[in-house]
Amino acid sequence: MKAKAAALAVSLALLAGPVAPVPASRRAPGEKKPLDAGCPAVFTDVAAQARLRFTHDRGATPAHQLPETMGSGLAWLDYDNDGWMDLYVVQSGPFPPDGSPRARDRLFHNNRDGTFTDVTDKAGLKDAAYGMGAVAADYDNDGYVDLFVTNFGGNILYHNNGDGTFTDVTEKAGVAGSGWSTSAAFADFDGDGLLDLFVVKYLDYSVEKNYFCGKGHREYCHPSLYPAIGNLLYRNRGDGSFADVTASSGIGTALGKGLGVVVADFDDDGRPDIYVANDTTMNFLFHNLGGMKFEDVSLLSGTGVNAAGRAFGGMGVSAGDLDGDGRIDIAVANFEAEPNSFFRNLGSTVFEDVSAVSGFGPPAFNFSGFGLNLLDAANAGRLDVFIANGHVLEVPRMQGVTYAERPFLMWNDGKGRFTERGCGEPFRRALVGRGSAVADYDNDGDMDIAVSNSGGPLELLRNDGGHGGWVGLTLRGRKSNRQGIGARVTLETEKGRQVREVKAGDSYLSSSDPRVHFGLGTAASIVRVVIRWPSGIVQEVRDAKPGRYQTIEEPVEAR
Amino acid sequence: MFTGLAPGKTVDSNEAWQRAQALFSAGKPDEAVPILESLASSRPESVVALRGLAAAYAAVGDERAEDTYRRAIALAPRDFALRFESVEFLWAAGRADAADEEMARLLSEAGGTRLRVRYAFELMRQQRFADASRELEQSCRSGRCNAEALEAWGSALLETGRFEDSAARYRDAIALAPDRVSARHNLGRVLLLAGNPASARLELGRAVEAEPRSPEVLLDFGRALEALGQVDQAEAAYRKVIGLAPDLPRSHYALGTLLARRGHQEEARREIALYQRVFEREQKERFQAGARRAELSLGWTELARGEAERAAVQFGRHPDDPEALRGRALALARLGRHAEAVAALEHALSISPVDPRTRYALAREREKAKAP
Repeated sequence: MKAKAAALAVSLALLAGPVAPVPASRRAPGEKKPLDAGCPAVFTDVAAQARLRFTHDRGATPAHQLPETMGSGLAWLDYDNDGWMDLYVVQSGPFPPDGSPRARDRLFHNNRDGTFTDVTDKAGLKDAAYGMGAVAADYDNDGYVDLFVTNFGGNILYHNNGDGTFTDVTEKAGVAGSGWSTSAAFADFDGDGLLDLFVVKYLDYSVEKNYFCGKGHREYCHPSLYPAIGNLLYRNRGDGSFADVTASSGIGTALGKGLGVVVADFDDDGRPDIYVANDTTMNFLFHNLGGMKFEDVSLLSGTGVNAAGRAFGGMGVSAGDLDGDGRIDIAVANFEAEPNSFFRNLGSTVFEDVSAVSGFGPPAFNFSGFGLNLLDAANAGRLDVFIANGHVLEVPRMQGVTYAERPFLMWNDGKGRFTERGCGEPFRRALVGRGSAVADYDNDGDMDIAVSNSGGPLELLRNDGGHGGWVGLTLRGRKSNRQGIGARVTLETEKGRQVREVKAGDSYLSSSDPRVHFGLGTAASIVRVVIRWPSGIVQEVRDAKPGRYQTIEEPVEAR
Repeated sequence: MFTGLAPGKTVDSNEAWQRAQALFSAGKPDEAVPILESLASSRPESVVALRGLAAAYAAVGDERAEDTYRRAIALAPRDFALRFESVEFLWAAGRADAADEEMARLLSEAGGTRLRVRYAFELMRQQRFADASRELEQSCRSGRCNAEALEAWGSALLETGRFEDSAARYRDAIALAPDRVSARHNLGRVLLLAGNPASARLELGRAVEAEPRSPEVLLDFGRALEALGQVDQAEAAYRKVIGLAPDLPRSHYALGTLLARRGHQEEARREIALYQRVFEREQKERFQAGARRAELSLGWTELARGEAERAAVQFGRHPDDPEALRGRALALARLGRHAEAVAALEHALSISPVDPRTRYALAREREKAKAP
């Protein structure tokens, strides 16, 4: 349990007997029901006390340049291998970008006591471009997590030197790209043990192409006014450089307006597929055929548009087994007047849009979702969903919609039916949410959430709940990539099975704690853990112990 | 809208007035303008003449329309029909703020359910769904609302995410007019959206009974069946839709994805390909239309700011677009380059010969070009 006041209070109360909300009839007149009564887990914003001092600078100008309203994201990474998650936060800054210090991203080192220290300068991180997102992964398998930062303009790859510093290796790696990049994800697409890189591009925009939009006053233009563009796929050569295989892979011909990406093995064939959330154009599902070739199955899979056959404003995205059937489903955060999407995986890259019947979509109708993360918020043994909301227009055209919006916590009943209920003060506070990423930053066994807010403060939502058991797994690949990204992990307890895949990059412009976290609910013990590594090796672990993080190394041969 | 001139007791016997009316009705308001200008100047106290002139100015895009309406209203402030016409003019001219302000005044003075309902429809067009809902509530609470207004109220509530209230209003509309299929169809759709396919199936089933050949109704009925797991019936419904309306892309998508789920990949691919072709064409058209609108909007904005030179350049990017040519001509005229303005308008007229606004602007520019 957490060593913090709230948790201690709960523990003491437990010693004294069961805790129950005070019945309404026994409350004093005028006394209100506690706002978070009955919440399985309550979140508290502890960014200030954690010394995470960061305010996003979106560089808003009267010209209302579109990038000003889209940033930014963040990435959790353990860059110094001390077992504690550090946080990289992307800054935007003046627009058009002028390289000013205002635009510098920040790296916060986790002090292991609930606080962080800004180590940006010490780490040699100098990105002062107009920042969008970040994803962390050990692309060169040297045991240290590297960092890829997307920008409006060229992207940056930072190599982790292993001594607390980073070196900009973009040029050597050949991954700068150009134009407007948004989210990115690392995965071993060709099964060679090296992490390849997929970069999402938004649309064809330049300062000169900024139209006058809005009546009476200028506002941000609708993305439909700008041409769609293709995404980028880089194959890792293994010598520190990447080859642009966009065209040969078959993904280059799919033009969209991409904002979010998640990589997962949707058809369970051992090869990672790619799902891209596009804004106003159809979403993409690229089915991995092997040999770095992909087939666009967006529409045939039933995930390109919604059940009514309409494209939507897809922003953030993630994937996981939401209904407990062992298959990886897709959740997408959408723009206003569009319910969020939940595509249930039926197998063989065929999905069913269950956004409405699952209760996942309807609450979002008047909200604009961006960051979206799957997490077992109460360690109950099922994946809940966090969604950071916030509009793009300071004065939204649609009534009943506001610029700043409260976030969502969608509680899963374990069968893929959701109820929206915010638990904790951050869920009653309206901000302009953008990127979000989850991590157990205090290593207490429950998942916390970092949220980047457009033009607002960084939030760290500490999870003050999670009374169920848990287990955390750090994967160490040998034949596979070092972090085991793409591994499918199945946990079996006497209560049932849970499935996770290790990801590097999801949500909106962000990447989360790469460790595999399972809530155990009421299960007393773990029967076994089965890991299918990206190499194809299947490993069974029977000695996983609840209540701690443990490292599992890939065997050389299957066992 | 300005399809004709309001009759007037003072001048309708006048031959000139009748001629102006005839020209207006024949789609030639530009030719009616000089006649009406003459009438209005000879009868400066005539509300009818000013109203006719304002309507003609509005029809040809002459910026004097608003002021002329104002002068007419000053003469007859209790003429609510005239004031509503001026409001409609402002709405059409994109001056929603001024129009809504005047409409609010008009409602407080004149009241009236029909006027309020009309306002609510306009508010919905402006995406002010909460205000529209409020206006409709005010109209309908008095019990004088018809099924159309109740249905519109349901739609306004739907747009603000109030699914349950929306469904209730659609039910009210159906109770008032049980044969109103559109209300039942909308009710089914909102129930689908809210995640209640069983109730949606019931309502959409009734809508299908009433209108068995409506592809849209049948398609949503199929979706409700599919959501309930009744895939054979859903597939039959989709196939029937395609039989009725082969060009409805969404039905091909619905059938294609259902077939894919049922393992019939080959036929699924064919259906999806049909959908994709139309989908991509529509996306392209939407992008082109949006980009054009934005380009022209930038031109008009430059012009409104007094940046005629920049406006002329901006409009010049669309050399074969009648609106851009009109904008360019206006910008050139402001720069005193009347001959070029005439050339731009002549080109616009060659593309769109029946547009009275271009004809009118060309006539004016030709006059200016002749002037020393």
